[in-house]
Amino acid sequence: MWEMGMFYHRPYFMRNQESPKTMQIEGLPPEVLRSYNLEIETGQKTKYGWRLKDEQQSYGLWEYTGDGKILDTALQWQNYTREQGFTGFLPLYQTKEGKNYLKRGKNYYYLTDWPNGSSFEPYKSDHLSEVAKKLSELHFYSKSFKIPVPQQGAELEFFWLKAKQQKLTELLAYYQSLKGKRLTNDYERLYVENFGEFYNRGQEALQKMVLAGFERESPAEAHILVGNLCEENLCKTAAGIVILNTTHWQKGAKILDLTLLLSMYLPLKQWEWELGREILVKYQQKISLCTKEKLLLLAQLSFPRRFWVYTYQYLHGKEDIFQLTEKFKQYLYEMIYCQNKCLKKLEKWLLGGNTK
Amino acid sequence: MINIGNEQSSVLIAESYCYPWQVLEADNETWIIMRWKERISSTPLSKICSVSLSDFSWNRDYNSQEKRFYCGEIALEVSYQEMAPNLPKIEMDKPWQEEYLFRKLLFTGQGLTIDASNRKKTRLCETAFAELLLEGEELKGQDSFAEENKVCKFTAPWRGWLKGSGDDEKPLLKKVHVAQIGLYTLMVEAVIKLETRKSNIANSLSGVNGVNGDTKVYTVLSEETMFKLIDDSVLEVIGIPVERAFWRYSYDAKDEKLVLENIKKTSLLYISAVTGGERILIASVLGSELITMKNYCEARYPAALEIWQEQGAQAVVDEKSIFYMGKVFCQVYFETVYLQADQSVHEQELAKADKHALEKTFEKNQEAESEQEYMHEYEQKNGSYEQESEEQYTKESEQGKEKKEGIVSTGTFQEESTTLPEPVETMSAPVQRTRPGEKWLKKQDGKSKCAFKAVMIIKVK
Repeated sequence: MWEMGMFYHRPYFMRNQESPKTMQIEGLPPEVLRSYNLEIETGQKTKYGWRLKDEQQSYGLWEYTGDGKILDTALQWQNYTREQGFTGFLPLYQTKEGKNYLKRGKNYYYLTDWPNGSSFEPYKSDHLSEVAKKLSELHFYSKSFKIPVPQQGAELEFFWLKAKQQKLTELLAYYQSLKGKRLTNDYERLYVENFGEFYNRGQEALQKMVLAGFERESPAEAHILVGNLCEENLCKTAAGIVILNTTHWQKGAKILDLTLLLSMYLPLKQWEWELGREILVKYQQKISLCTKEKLLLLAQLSFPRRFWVYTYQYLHGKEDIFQLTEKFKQYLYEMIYCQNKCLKKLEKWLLGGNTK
Repeated sequence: MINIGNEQSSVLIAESYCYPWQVLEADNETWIIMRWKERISSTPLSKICSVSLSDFSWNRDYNSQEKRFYCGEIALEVSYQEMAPNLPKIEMDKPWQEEYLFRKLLFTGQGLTIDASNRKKTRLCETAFAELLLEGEELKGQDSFAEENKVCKFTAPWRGWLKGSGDDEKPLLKKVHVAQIGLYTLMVEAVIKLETRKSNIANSLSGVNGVNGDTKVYTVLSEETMFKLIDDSVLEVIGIPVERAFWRYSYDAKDEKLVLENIKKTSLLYISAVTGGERILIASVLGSELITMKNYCEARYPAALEIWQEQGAQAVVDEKSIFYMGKVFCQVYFETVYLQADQSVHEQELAKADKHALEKTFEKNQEAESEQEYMHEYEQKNGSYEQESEEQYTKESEQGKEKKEGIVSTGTFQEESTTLPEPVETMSAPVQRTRPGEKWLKKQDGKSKCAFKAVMIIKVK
C-alpha cells in the first residue's frame, strides 16, 4: 500500500520518478482510490465510472452525481438484500472509514465488484425470464427493507395514479391546441386521428387501477423498486442476471417493476403472449400475485405510455420528425395487431385460470 | 385613359380552413371548397386507387341581375385498399428506451410544452401517406371498380351566391384532392367555381370619354403585384379573386378628377406545395385602393359604378412569391337611367304582385276560423306567391339584361342623352304618423329592390 506521507518525505527528484500508480487513472481523483484498502494495478475509464484491477480481481468504481440521500438509500438496500441472500446486486465495498460511499465535491463514489459476465440480450427470451426471476427474489428479500422516511412534501412521488392522470391531461391539452389548426405533418395527423382512442384507453386503465385499489395504498406500504431495467443496467453472469445500478430506485407497488419489464421488452417479440406468461410464471416462483396485483398489472400494461413519450419528444424537437413519425406508426401497429391480443389472452389466463 | 399602376408587393395571410365547406365570395366569382374527412375503415389503409365523379348537379334557385344563388350536389367515389389483416413483423427500435423514459419523466415535472408558433415554423413536412391530386375535368363516373378495392362514397350538397352582372357560366368542378391523413382516415377536397363573364369588356366601354355632359366615364388600370406567402409554399395558383367594398367618392375640382377609394380584399386560392392534409387553401390580403378618373369635368356624384377585374398572367416565382398581372375596368355612370330601364318594369310587377298577395291574404284571414289554420294556409299561399314572383323576376331581369347590353354595346344612349332624364320612380316623403299602430309608410312608397317580399299581418283581437 502506497503511503502518501512517505511519498512527500522523499526528495523531489525521486517523487517525479516514482509517482503513485493512482495518478495514472484517467479522471479519477487520487484521494478516492486511497480511501479504499486496495492496491490497484490498472484502471480504465468506463461510461459510469472506472474499472479497476488488482492482482486478484476487477472492481467497479462508480461515480454518482445527484442527491446523496438517494444514493445512501440505494446502497443500504444493496447491502440489506445481499445480507438476506439476494445475488442480483453487486457486492459493495466500504471505505477505510466504514462508509458505503465517498463524497468529493459534488460527486459521490462507491466501489463494487466488477460484473464478470456478458451483456444482457433483450431479444433472448431466457434472459427476460431470468430478469423476472431476479425481480421476484429481489421483491421477496426487500419486503422488510424500510425506505427512509422522505421529507415533508416529498411524498408526492408515490402518487403514480395522479402522475399518470397528469400525463393524460397534458395529451388532451395538446390535442385541444391542434384543433382547428392546419396540421403540419404526419405526426400531428396520426396524433389527431388516434388521440381519442389513446385517451379513452388511458382513462380506462386508470379506472381499472382505481378499482384494483391502487390509490388506497399509503406511502407506508410502499415497496422499493429497481426503476431501471434498461439493457445497459443488466448483466448476465454465472449467478444469473445482475442489476448494476440501483440509484434509480422508486417507491410503489412491486408489480410496477414487473410491468416495466413486460412493457419494455415484450414489444420486441411482438407481444408474444406465451413469453408474457412465461415471465409471469417465473416471477411467481417466489412471490405469487394476488388478484388485485393481476388487475393492476393488466391496467398498467394497457396505459399508453409511449404515446406520451413520442409526443414529448416531438414537442421538444429532440428527434428527427420522420423517424419519430415512423416510430409512432409502428407503435400504432403494435397496439392494433399485437398488444391488444396479448393483453386479452393474458387477462384470460391470469383471471380466468386458463393456463393453456 | 390608362393608368399604369405601380408594381407592389403584398403579404398574404393564410386563412383557416374549415369543414364541410369553405366559400369564397368575391366580385363576379365564387369559389366553393367542399371538404370531407372520414374514418372509413377499422383496418389501416394501404393505397388510394382512384377517384370518380358520380354526381355533379345544380339548380339556380335565385336569379337577378346582380346576384344568383346556386344549390347543387356533388358525389365522389374513392376506391382504396386496406392492409392485410395479419401484419408482418413490426420493427421496433429499442422500445425499452421510450418505456424507461416515461418512467423516468413521470415524477420529474417535465411535461409537454406546447409552443404552437415554434411548431408551425419548424415542423411543416411532406407526407408519407398516399395522395391524389386531379383536375376536375378529368373526373368521370366509373361503372365498376376492381374487386379487391373497397369504395367509399363522399356526397354533399353545396350552395353559394354569385355576385355581379354578366353572363354566368356553368358551375365548374376545378380540382379534386384526395389524401390519406392517418391510418384509417381519408380526406377529400373539391373546388367548385361559379363565375360570371363579361364578354368583350373593352368593347362595352364607350370611346374616350369624360367630357362634360357625357353619361359615363371609364378607366382601365393595369395591376402588377407580387404576392408573398409566409407560412406556406405554392404549387399552383387556382384563382386570385378580388372583392371590393366600402366605396367612397371624392371630387378634385382643380384637376377635374373623381377619386374613388375602397377596401379591396385579394384572395389567393392555391394548392399548397407541402403534401399531406388539406392542400387547397386560401390566403388573403386586405388593403385600400385608390382609383382616379381623370377628365371628370363636372362635380356630379356618380349614380352607378361598374367594376370588372380581368385576370391576366400569373406565375409562381419561388413557391413563396406569386407574380400577378391583371386589368381593372372601372366605369362610372352619371345617370341612373340605364339601371331604371332594367328595373322599372320589374319593380312594377313586384308591386302588383305584392298588392295582389296582400289582398288575397287579407281575404283568407277573414275567412280563417282559427289562427293555426290560417297560418298553415298562409304559408302555403305565401310559398306559391314567392315562387311565382321569382319566376316573373327572373324573366324580367333577363329582359332587362338584354336591354342593358343593347344600350351599352351600341353606345347610342350615352351619346344622345345630354340632359338629365326624368326619373322613373321618385321616393315620396313618409306620411306622418297619426295613431299608434297606423301604417305610416305605405308599401308602394318603399323602393325595395329585394325580390323576397314577405307580408306580415298582426292580428289584434
